Amino acid sequence: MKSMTFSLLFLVFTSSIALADNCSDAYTQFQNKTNEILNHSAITPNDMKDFDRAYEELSLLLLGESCEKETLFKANETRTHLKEKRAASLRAQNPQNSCTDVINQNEAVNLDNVRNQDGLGWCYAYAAADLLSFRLKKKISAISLYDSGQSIEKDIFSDGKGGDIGGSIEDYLRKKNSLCLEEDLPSSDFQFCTYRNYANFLQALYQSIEENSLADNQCLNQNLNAAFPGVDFSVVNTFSAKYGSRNLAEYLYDLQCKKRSFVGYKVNPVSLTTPRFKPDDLLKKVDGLLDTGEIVGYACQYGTLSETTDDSKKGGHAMLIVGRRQNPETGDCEYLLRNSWGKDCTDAEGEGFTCDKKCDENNDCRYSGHLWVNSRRMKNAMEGITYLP
Amino acid sequence: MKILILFFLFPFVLEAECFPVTTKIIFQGKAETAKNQLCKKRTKDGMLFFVSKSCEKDQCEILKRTPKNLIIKKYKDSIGSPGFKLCQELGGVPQIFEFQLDLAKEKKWQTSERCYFEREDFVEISLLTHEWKRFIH
Repeated sequence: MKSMTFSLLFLVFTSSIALADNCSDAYTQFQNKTNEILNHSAITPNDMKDFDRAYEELSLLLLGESCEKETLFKANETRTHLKEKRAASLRAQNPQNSCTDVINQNEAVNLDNVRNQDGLGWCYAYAAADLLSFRLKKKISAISLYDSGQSIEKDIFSDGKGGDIGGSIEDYLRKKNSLCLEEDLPSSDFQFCTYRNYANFLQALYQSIEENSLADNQCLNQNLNAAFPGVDFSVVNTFSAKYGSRNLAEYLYDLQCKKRSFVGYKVNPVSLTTPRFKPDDLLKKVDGLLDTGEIVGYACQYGTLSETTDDSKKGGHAMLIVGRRQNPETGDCEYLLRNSWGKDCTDAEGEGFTCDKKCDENNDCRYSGHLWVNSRRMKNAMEGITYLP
Repeated sequence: MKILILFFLFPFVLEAECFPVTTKIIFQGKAETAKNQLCKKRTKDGMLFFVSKSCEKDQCEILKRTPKNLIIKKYKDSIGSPGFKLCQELGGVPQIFEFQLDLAKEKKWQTSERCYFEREDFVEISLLTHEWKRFIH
């Protein structure tokens, strides 16, 4: 028994040494290649590609080995060092370059808490809410800021028509002289019985009022209480008997926002649009705002931004510009766009259009719901910017 | 001696693939928190997504399904979140949620979206779009 245990121990011990040798050989090979690259006086895009190839080879050699994560972690430290050197090379080439790295975030608006507009076309309201949330460091309700220039009743029947960021802030503050917090009127989804999305649920609500069938619809009643706690069909019936269904949604929103926040708050959003202003000048303005720690609303043609050939995707869209970097591989100046489609990375990535990823020490990467887009695409797709003075 | 053997047999502590989290959803205007488990699902390109315990190691139906061509009306329309449309097309129910890793030193809420299929089965919507986007027309 003793000799068997000893043999087993010996076998495990020697195989551990063999594994360690495999790893150190592979890593030494990788180091030899990357040290040569790091010794270059200036790091070029080709150097970055050579590094990627060496990293790929190392990953293959380590595949399935117990030392894989630990060794790749070390290799990633070299990648960080190389990127820093590449950035320094770019700065040396162009000392006047204003494309410095910046990401503006705080407790209310950050890379971990991107919003999701569900099936609604209220991207502008989500961008407006984040613009205010960032300024006030409190999460403002996105759906409270709908303002498409038509009544909400009409708006929801077209799944949200769209509107503008600055207009929705101005309009809401003028009417309510205060703001509504996300915790009082949540924009996040709730569990629907049968409805496709929030707009679909509101459509059903309006239809049931017209047909006088709300009391019999248990599912709709449950959803009503989920969307507007404390509200049941009697509240809706009383309102609609008096005023009809017009302005019902606004009435229900106001019931939830009884505890008004930031009462008396005043701000006049500045909106600068093309073609009155040149995209070049607007992007310079964006740079200045980012440098002073601000974030900026960005209205664009999404199809142009993603350079899709798909006609159905060529609608207007609103997002926020929250950061900037010089892409170490291409040298392009890129902007970090905060979308409102959750953590998805739905679009085909291409040159100058990539999904932001956050990688941990184990080399596990997750999408953040933000996009890095180069200045050429930003300018081509730009319809305007909005910021809070 | 046994301890010594175990030490040599498992020279590296394996990283847990499922871990405890606190989840938060908004229901009836109130935050509902629950103790839960999330499991890791890695894709070939090194991306990490979270799935329910019942979907660990691709055990649940949705992860066994082979992606095939789908035609989703208005999928690429800039109105609305494309992931929600895909989740519904696949027969799931989308839900926005927040989670916090119970064992993390620094506790921080992160938002995400999941697609529920059966009572217990859910996967992150970003996993669905990642795996199915080539098949959507």
